[in-house]
Amino acid sequence: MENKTALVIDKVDKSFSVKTGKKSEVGLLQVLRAISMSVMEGEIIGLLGPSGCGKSTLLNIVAGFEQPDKGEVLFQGEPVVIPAPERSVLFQSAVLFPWFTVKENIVYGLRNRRENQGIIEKKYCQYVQLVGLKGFDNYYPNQLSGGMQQRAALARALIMEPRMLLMDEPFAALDAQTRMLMQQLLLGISEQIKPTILFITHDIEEALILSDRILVMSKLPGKIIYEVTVPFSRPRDLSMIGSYGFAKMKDEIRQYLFDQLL
Amino acid sequence: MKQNWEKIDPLGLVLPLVILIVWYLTALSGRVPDYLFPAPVEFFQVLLDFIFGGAQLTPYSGKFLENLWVSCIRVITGFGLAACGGLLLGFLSGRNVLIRRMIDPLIQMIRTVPGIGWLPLALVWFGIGEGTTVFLIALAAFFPIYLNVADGASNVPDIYIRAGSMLGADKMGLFRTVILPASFPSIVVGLRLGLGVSWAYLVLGELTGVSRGLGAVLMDSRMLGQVEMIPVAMLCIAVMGIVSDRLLLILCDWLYPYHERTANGK
Ligand SMILES: Nc1ncnc2c1ncn2[C@@H]1O[C@H](COP(=O)(O)OP(=O)(O)OP(=O)(O)O)[C@@H](O)[C@H]1O
Ligand SMILES: [Mg+2]
Repeated sequence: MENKTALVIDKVDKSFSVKTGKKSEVGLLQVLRAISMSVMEGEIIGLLGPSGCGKSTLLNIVAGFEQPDKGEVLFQGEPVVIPAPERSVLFQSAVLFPWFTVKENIVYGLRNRRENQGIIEKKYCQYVQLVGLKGFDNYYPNQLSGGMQQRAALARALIMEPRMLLMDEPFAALDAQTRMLMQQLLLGISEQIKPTILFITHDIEEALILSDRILVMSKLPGKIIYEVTVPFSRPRDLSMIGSYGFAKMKDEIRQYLFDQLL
Repeated sequence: MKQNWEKIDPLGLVLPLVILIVWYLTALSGRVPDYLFPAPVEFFQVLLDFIFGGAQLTPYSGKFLENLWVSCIRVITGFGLAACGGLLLGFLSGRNVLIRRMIDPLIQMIRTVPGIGWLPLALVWFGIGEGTTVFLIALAAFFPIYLNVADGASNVPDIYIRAGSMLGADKMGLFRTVILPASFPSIVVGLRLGLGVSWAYLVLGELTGVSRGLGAVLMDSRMLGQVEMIPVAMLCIAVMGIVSDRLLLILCDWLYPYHERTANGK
């Protein structure tokens, strides 16, 4: 696990063509400019930045949903071209398939991989336990609370044993209590499975709790303007929030973010 | 979708009952001569005789099933063709921009010709009877199916496709597990509209002078002076429209028990 690079993002540019007001005028909006970073295996990266700065765009490129205009993304040394279960994504909303039950949703990826039924059952038990959704096998997503949906989505991603998790504000839509529970859950899981994670959030505290390293992006076009290593030792728990070091780092990052809002 | 084929609202029965009573009273008063419209009693006698036979009240005594059978075969054939074409082209056009740009304008153009407008050409091509009827049904039922399937398929939220492909689904897998279920409510709407239109065009096709079928009974009874058969045949066609719609819904529920989730879910 030590010192092996999992992900390399090398001078990535991305623009979107956008309709600018009048009729058919098309402008080019540069969203990402020369973004570079590398992520070690097992590392958890928190990505912060003002709204609309291109965080989701960057994550979508790493996921393989979008292609960069320039530069390249290498995952385990291979260029990323299409989405794959080795790079699982957690969206802001759970995006469970409403026509499948919780169980059908969670084992969806294994079915695509044509695993045999025994393995599917075994893994399902394991991961449904991990996210604490036992007994909800035959519920449909719209019968679950938002937090439960997000946990099912987490199980659906983790069951594929991805080498990397890409999370786009996965807890942003949850209430404060549920979000804390989810953070705790993710901390626990990261101790057990030690996945590489790229994590977008608007919440500085959340970034500090979960990340090994925090990157701050500028407003459009997005560049990385600040990088800091989070020194708190693992295993972590939420009690670190009260410490002096935590408050100090939070303030510092807030300063960088605040500068971008002006 | 489910509720309205399992429950019957008693309030909905009030007006039909009123009409029945008024009809009965008018007939009793003797103001409407029989050759314009039959009295209720006669109507039900003819209806029962048409279905079960025995009384020989009309030349169609006991001929219900054989005429129904002929009509059903035509509807099933025409509707089946329309469903195959509508589903295939609908999915292609809904999911592939190039194909949509190729075929959609033409289909929209053809659609502007009213179905009845095709009758003369159909008669030239297929002659009186089977071919023309099936052609008219297939043509008319195709458009609502195609339009709704294409609409449903193109409105599948992108994020579901992303979620599916991120979890390793290939093209066929995505179609089966994401696109099909997500657009299923639209498919059902299209099929129901298409089936409804099918019965209308069945009658049109059979009016052109075929010897058997509910539409033929309808038309021929006027020429044979059997006025009492006309409303009977009309009722049979209406009931068949409703019955086939219910059967279609049951079939859809059976094929895809979770399609209601898609409509309410999210
Ligand atoms: N498909 C697209 N077409 C055109 N413009 C787009 C597209 N996707 C994103 N953009 C634009 O790119 C910019 C960055 O969007 P992005 O979603 O990456 O921001 P973000 O940092 O994730 O914001 P937020 O924190 O609010 O989620 C925005 O200005 C947005 O309008
Ligand atoms: Mg975003």
